Amino acid sequence: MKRLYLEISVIYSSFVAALTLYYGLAEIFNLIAHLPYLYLISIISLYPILHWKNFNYRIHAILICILLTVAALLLSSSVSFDTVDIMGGFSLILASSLLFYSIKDTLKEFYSGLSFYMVGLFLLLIIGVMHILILLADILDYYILCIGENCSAYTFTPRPEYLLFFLSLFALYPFFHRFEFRRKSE
Amino acid sequence: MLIALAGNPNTGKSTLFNEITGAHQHIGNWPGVTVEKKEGFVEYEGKRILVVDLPGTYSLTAYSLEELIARNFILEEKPDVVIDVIDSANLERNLYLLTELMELTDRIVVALNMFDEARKKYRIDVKKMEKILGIPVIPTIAIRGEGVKELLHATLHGKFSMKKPEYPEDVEKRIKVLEERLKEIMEEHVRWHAIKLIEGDVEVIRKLQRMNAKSIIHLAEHLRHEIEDIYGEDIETVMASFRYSFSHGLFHEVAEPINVGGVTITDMIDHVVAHKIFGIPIFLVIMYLSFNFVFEVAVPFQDAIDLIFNGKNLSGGGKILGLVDISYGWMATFMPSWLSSFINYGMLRGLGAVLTFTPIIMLLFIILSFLEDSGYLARIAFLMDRIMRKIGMEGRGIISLMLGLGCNVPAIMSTRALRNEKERKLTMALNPLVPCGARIQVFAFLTSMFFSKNQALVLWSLLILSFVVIAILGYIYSRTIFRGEVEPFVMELPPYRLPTLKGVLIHMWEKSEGFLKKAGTIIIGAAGIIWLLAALPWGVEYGSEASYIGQFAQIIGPFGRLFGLTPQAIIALFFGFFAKEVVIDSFTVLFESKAALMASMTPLQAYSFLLFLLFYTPCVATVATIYQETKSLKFVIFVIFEGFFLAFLFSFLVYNIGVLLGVS
Repeated sequence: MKRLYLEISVIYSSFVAALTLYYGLAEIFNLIAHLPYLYLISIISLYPILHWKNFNYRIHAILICILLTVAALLLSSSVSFDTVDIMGGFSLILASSLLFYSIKDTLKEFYSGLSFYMVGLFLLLIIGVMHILILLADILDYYILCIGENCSAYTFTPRPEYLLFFLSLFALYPFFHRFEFRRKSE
Repeated sequence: MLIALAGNPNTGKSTLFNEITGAHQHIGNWPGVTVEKKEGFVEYEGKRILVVDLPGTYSLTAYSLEELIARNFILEEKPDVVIDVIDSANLERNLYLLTELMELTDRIVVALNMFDEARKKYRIDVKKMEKILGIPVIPTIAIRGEGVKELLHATLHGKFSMKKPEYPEDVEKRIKVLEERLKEIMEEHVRWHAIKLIEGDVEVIRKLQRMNAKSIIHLAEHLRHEIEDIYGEDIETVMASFRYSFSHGLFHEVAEPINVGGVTITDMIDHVVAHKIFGIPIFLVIMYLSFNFVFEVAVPFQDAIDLIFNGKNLSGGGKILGLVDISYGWMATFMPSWLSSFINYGMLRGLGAVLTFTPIIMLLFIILSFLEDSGYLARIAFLMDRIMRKIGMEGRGIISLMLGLGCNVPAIMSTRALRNEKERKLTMALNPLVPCGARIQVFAFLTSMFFSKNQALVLWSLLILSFVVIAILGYIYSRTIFRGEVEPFVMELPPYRLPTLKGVLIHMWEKSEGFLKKAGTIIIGAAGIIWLLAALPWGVEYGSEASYIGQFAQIIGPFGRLFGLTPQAIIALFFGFFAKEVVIDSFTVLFESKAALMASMTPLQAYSFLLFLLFYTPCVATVATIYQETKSLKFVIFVIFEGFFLAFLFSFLVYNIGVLLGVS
């Protein structure tokens, strides 16, 4: 069971890492118009399956990978990049680096790899929460500025951080159940 | 001479006792109970040493008989030295008792027993541990009799200059309050009694009841509830958690694991956030995200406050009146218009301008409290400690520098925690270079206008520059004027936890309260003075060249051009010496609208101004605190000179290089 969990998490993290890296680069260089980059995600996501010989659950892994990639492609089409956000991009690239590093470590040193996986996802979660709160503040500000004015309804602009937030939330769920969040009193 | 052997069960304490005393031992019972008492003696260097083997315990609470016997023996019999026998193969777990013993007595020798077993798990830096704790630490293998002579030698001749563990400020200040009261009725172990009273230790409460000290018991109860409210947990969990933080921190300082088992979430997160490659980028990203969050989320609240005070012009014509206009109109009906103008357009509008930035300050403190309560702030200090040591500073100094992000005054005061005087002065000299909350407000005010698209990036660049300058100056100072050895210490590493909303809000309020009080007093006063200087002498146009402020601006104007500073900017900096928030007031009073302010400077000039503000003299309250802490006028002058030198240097360089490159 641990092995299955491990390998699924490796596939999942490689997928999220590739997607996050792509979005990070897109926030800096506005790459969203170049769809071929999205295909790169699929190839990078497949990297662990193609590379490691000791994978026993290839079928599971491939299925998960394909499902996630399709989901990401569908969701990505609605994400927009209206401005260049250098630090936002850097944050995502860092999160993706942590996830890639986790792939490198997971099969060698389980806890080390899992640690990078978890912190990478946490970082995505924090980035996502912050952007969701910023979105709420933006909506509130829009209506405050509209006081006394004749304004149309607020137009929502989706950002990749929202998608990554839900992906990380989904992946972090097992951590809250498998481990105690507080240190045990010895 | 009397020695007590303390320690967790199964640490080889009895084996060590047998090794020390040999055949000279007596086995009986502790008075009134059936717990076995072993005592024996040894002749060493001509001295007869009585050794008592205390019952094995994991802590020193009042829950078990063994614990009570152990702590009462130390309290009542006052042994000359307590040897804490530690199973070094389970070092971190065993350090908890050590932290409790350190609260109880100053004269402890640590016996790192089963040292051979420990070597299989981690490398322990014994010398570092000795230096950090300020007490002798001796590796022993009792079963083979190794290290016993060294242990006895350390007991007789060891250096005891213990550095006691400290609790966080919220707890520590309450312990101090209780200590003051306890000093009225007792002379010994005052701090220990204060801690135990706060913990609600039944035995200590009974003791005080016997001493008829009901008011102290009530005070302790009140303080205990306050702590529980802040941390959202019962007192035992809170206090135990801090002791674990200390032992966890100490363990990470002195032991380098070879093989780790039983990994917790805290260990896993630490593995990454304290990583030698990823640690710093994660820290930078977290700081960037925090500032981005603060500035973006504060906007609607700022706009709402601005609307309340100043109203707004509607796009279709007409105006929503703000508090300032309404109040001016109302007051003008029963007082001279100049007085109504002074009160409303001078003071009330000034207050409004400052209050507009309250959401930023509150959100900033919410984030800082969140980082602190979650345990990450301690990791930042731990992470930076490694780097800062290379440039001659220690970790506690870094905590003080980080406190400076809130306000430089308490940050300067917090340097008292540093034991080395040179280290303290070094930290005090660098502290004013950390942008305080007030300066961050001004940055927010100006960046929102001049760099609206890259607000967080510009602020982040200022922060990074300030920390780079601090690092370079720290390196230079620690090798020249503040030369001295960096003392090792324990950086507490609390377990990660989800902070409680109540705790975060209480911390936020404690930190913001000062700002709001200042806004209500000094800042309104300063706004009034600036208004008067811009309106006097009577009859001149408000803020014109003929006004006092205008005349002053004309005199200093040519000088400011070297740095791209406009006369109004120099006036704002001048008033900023009283309190940095007044800079916003100055701009609000000197320019009738935001558009007028934006037209007065190019972004390059604005950035040059921000750089000047970042470094130039600290505010009057910080200067006074530095003098109070050092009692050295020379040092105060040095700090002011250092600030001005850096401000002139960076503003001049950035502005003139920018002009040469055609940036505007």
